[in-house]
Amino acid sequence: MVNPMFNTKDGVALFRYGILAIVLLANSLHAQRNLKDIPDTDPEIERKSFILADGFEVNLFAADPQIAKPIHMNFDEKGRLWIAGSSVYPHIEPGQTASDKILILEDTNGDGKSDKTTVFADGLLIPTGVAPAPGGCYVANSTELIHLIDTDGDDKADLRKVVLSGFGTEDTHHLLHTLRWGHDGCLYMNQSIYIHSHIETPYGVKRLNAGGIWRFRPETLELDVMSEGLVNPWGHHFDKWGQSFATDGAGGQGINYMFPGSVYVTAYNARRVLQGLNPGSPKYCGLEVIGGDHLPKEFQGNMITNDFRANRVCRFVVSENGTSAYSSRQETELIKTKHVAFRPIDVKMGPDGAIYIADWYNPIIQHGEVDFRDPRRDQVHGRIWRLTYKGRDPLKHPDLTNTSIRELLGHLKSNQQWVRLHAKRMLKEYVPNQVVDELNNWVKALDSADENVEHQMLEALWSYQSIRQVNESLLQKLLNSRDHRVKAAAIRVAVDWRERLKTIDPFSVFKTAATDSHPRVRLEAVRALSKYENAKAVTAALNVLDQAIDPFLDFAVWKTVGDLKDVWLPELTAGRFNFNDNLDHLTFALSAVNSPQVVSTLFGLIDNKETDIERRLNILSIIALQGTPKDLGRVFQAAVALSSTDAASAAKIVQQLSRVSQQRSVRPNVATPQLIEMMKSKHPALSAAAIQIAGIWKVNAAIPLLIDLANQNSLGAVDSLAMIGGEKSKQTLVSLTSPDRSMAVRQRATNVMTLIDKNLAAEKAVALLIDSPTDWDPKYAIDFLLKTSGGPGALISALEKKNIDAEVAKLAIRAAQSSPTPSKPLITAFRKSGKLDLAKWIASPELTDSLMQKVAAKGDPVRGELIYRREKLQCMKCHAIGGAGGIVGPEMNSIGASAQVDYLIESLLEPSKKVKENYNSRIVQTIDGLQFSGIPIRENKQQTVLRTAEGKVVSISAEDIEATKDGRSLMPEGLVDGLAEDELVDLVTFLSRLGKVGDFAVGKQQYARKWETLIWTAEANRRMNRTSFDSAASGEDVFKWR
Amino acid sequence: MVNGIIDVMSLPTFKIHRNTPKTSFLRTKLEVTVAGSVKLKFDAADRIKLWVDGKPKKIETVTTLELEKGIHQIVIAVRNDSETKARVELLAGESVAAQWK
Repeated sequence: MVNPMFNTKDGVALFRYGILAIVLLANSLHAQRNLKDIPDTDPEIERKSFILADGFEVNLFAADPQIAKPIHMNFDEKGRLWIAGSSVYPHIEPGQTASDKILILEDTNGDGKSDKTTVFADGLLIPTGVAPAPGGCYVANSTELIHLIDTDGDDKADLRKVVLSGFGTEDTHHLLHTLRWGHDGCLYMNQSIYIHSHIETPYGVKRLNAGGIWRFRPETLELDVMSEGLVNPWGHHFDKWGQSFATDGAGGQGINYMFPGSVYVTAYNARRVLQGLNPGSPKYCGLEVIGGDHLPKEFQGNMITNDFRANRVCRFVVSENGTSAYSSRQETELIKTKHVAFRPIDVKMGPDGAIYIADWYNPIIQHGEVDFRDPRRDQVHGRIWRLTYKGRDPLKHPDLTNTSIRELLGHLKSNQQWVRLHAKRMLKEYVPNQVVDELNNWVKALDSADENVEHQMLEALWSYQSIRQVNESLLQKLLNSRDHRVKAAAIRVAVDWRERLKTIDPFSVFKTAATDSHPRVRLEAVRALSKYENAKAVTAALNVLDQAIDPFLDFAVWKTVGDLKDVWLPELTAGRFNFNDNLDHLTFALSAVNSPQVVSTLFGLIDNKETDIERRLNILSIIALQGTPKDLGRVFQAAVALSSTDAASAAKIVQQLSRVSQQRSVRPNVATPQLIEMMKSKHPALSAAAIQIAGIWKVNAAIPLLIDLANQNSLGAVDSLAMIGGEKSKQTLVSLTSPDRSMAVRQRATNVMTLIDKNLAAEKAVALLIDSPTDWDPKYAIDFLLKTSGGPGALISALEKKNIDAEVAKLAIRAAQSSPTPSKPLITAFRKSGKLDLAKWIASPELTDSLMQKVAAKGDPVRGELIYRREKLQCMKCHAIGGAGGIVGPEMNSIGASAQVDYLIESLLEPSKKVKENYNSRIVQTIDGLQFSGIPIRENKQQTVLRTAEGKVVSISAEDIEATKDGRSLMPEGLVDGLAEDELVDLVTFLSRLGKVGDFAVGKQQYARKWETLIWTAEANRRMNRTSFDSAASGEDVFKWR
Repeated sequence: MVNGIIDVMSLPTFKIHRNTPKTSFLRTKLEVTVAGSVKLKFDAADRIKLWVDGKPKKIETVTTLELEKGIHQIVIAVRNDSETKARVELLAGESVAAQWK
């Protein structure tokens, strides 16, 4: 069974979880009010508000009424800009006709402004992506990828083909989006967290649940998932060497490095996820790797993305760092502004070398947490801005239509990415054989002394890949390159061609590359090896472990070993395969799979004399995670064997058994005398671990000793008695709740009594509330009652006609509000018992109006920040700013720039009105009648993992789940009830400034914001008095940090 | 604070001798991806003492540290007997790849 008392990480009682989380979300109750914040829609006023990076200037390329609500854009081979726009977003009204459009914008005279707008297609429903292709375009149109074709050359779509269908439609801002042609001739497409897609292709049904990146080859209809995860990834682009990067419009880690098989947060059924390159970032939309001759050297290869919430166009410098991945640092924004309707959401390099920004133009954005019909939503405006570098002329660009093969090949040497990309794409319009002949000659004629020759060859290789023709000699050359970027790209092509190669043995290429001197080559190789369904591939992949490892590389090996599990595991268990006796490789492989089949092999390893204690502990831990109850019994025996000689190691084993017994709901039969001996150990960690597991495993024979220990104030023994239950345990717990006991024991016994007798627990809890000191927090005594079905009712009965101290009542109310399903009758009962006339903010239109006026007139954001940071208010506990703070609720970096003041006020007062995506809580009821609530961070067939309001991670075994339901925001109501009006006004003022240009925006400066403070204790002060300040930095236990 | 200023006045203070000023201690972590020079800029450097991985370091407004790859513990002691606007910034553009943890 699941045990509610301990979390998975440190065995700390979960009494402490269930507190507060602030999910600051907007609601729309009275959104009609106060439309004064809507800025003048004149584009020139908006343009003048822009603060630009040094050297840049900006002009309006296109604006309403020519365009409205641009969502996504891409340039075509003629240099025209295609726009997918939607006035219908976020949701079509009943009876409304879908009227969204695909537009083509053209600058016919080269003055940097669009002077021709063509409606290519009309009547679409929220098109979220457009990728022009000769004679038409591909469009992400809700559940379908459609190909719109102009058959008569009038720039109007007259033929519509559904190319793929079955994309999920659960949420309009998560639909299929971010269409992008790759260097390899494939169309890349993204989808987001709530989308479940099941796409029928000639090669079978392809599935992607939640976020990820698709790779699609239109000529063959081959469709695959390249990467999984990210919350709402509206940005994806390739660098010059074909490596992928993505941004996340609802994530917080900046630039993310994507490679085949990479898995990020929110991926369905994931056991492990990667981290982005800029943790603590705001949400970003769109991504373009910039470069080319119009821009100065320092901008080459920079990545541009949009902080749409805070009205900024941001710049990142991503660089090699000697690992398989990259380092990324933020530089000065290209654009920032106080204009609240500037909403940059897409960015592309134009054929003229300028940077184009799609401006959704809206004071209200998104829709998950903002009313669909808020009248401040703008449905008609939209802008495309064009950023150029002063003193550098725009580039003259060729029209790539009606261009000969030879000319197109010449363009592969161009320094402009638009030219190279579209030249490759236009080669696809010719008969492949013709292209091959000329391409072969072009490659032969390349100047080997040219410093760019290998990049030119790589462009040629991608051209072959685009037209689906193999060139083995060129591939071989690039596989032999000394440049790791070239080699890594060549390996990716070799994977595509692996079944068509005749002179190259791709397996041996990948195997050798897995030992390459550069980690990125090793990463590509190890992912390539996942395509081979044989045990040799695993052996080759594991060779990567023999060199320096980094998190991305480690993940890649782990993923490959897991992908090939069904191949090597049967061979291993049958004794036909043993990883060449390499213990490191074997241990890694076994830890990468989740299968009871590995256990016998693992036991064999423990018996091996060469296995040292550290490895032995590691192996026992893996067995505990994967083995049967009988296996767990053997692991316990291993702990018993160690207990007299190495008690610390034995304690670690027992602690791990405790964790997995709860997670997996397994309980072995163990020899109780040995366990009882262990409980008596003089080694504190071992005895504590044994006491804990006696409760988890419900060892009745341990009760007498547990009673003794509980009477000696062992809190662990108190817990275990409650878990085992029975009359003797109950009697002991009752005696432990008497007033002559210490407060710690008394409250613990009271709380865990809930597991045995709710009514009795409630009676004892109220007794404790009555005679407790006012600074004592009652949550520790009533936590289980609040989480247990029938618990609040029992408390209400027990409170009948009882009076409790007002301060204790306030704290009890706060605990009740933080519980998974707050009981209003219980809160009323506490209020009555405490005789509380508690100041309570009650949301109303009048209050919101009044507060808004005061925010505008006298709100002080500096004072507001101090209020925000008050420990009692607990904002920081759940929300981070600039990476400092909790992760239970959304980051607050730019909340002020994305939400109007009335939304902020109403969200503070009524936090569950609207909830930000990915922050809806889940309430899980276990078969024991206990409730847990938290944000689901991982769910798979074995378990549900929640992050609780306290930021703790709790795993609940699927077998223990009785029912689940969607919960509210984890942010409890009433958090700001203790604030005076001036304080509330200042707090709202601070929140409203967050992210706006000024002192409250997280900029490019990397300040240290995540500090721990040394807590004053007499002991710590004395220690420094006797030594020096240096001792505070020594890490000694006497110093406690918070 | 959002602007990186440490709210020194709200911190617990230590006064270990009659003649030493009231002092507050803070710690954080810095992850260095590639070994090399890391530059930290201190506001109110004259009121701050610095330890890196337990060892005291001489502090200047811009302090250059030679750090190995890995996670390093940064401890500062801030004199807390009058208003102090202390702040620590990683000068990313002048440092090897590093970030606050």
